[in-house]
Amino acid sequence: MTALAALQRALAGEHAALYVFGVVGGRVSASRQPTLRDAVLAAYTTHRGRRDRLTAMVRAAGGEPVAAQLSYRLPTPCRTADQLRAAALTVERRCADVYAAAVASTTDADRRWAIDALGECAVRQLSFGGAPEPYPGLPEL
Amino acid sequence: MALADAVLAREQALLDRVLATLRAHPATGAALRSARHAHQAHVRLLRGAVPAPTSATASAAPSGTASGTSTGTPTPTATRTPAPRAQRVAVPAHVPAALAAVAGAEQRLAAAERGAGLHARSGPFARLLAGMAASAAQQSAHLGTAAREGRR
Repeated sequence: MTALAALQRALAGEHAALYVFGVVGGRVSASRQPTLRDAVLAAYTTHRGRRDRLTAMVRAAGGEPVAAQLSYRLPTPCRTADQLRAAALTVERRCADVYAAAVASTTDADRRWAIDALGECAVRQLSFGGAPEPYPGLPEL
Repeated sequence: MALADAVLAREQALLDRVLATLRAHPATGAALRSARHAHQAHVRLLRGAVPAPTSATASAAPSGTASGTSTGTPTPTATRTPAPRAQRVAVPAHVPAALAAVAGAEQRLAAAERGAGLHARSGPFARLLAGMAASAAQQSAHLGTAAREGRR
């Protein structure tokens, strides 16, 4: 995969992440799940920042940033608190996967950024009920 | 592969620290289970990638596995202690401090593996190192939380 293709895939992943976190953030109860709500809001802010950064990185690499789709299939029905948490966890796992792929396809500053993003996604998984894993972002291992 | 050698040495050192902490404080078993599993997996994988330095002890069966079958290696016994050349690790006397010490070591390991991933020549190896760094970052967060809960 070229560096540009890897950045575009990461950007597409962040578009999807923002959609799901937007839905999850709208459905999580501030009064009954304050911890989950705080984690979702923090995740949304982080993913939005990464989307903007990736948009700039794609342009710098000479590409036209891939656009967001109108809607995405939610990873869970997103009705109960457990389903909302699981949806958030799935999104963080998928983002970890695309950032790990981006690490392999990039060099220098772009790779450094992808390495950091992978680490952030991995740590954030814990706030959505994920357990530590030997190889975050590397599903084949 | 100097880079892979250095990564293996760091992973082994952290595994030794986890095992020493488990010996000193059996009550940390639940908190440290995933860290032990992760670093054992990393050491095993890196040993497969890095040519063995010299000794047969370096390839001793991974400790803590439930398997009773021999793998056919001539190693006399698969002991639970780390290799004899392992450095001695000072373990804090109280459980929360001991967990916090491992959390700090995981954080330093994560930083070192991020740097190694940046400088790896091959993309796939960089990805592997980034995954190991992310694993250590998870452990640092997980054990930091466990240490704080233990102080309450």
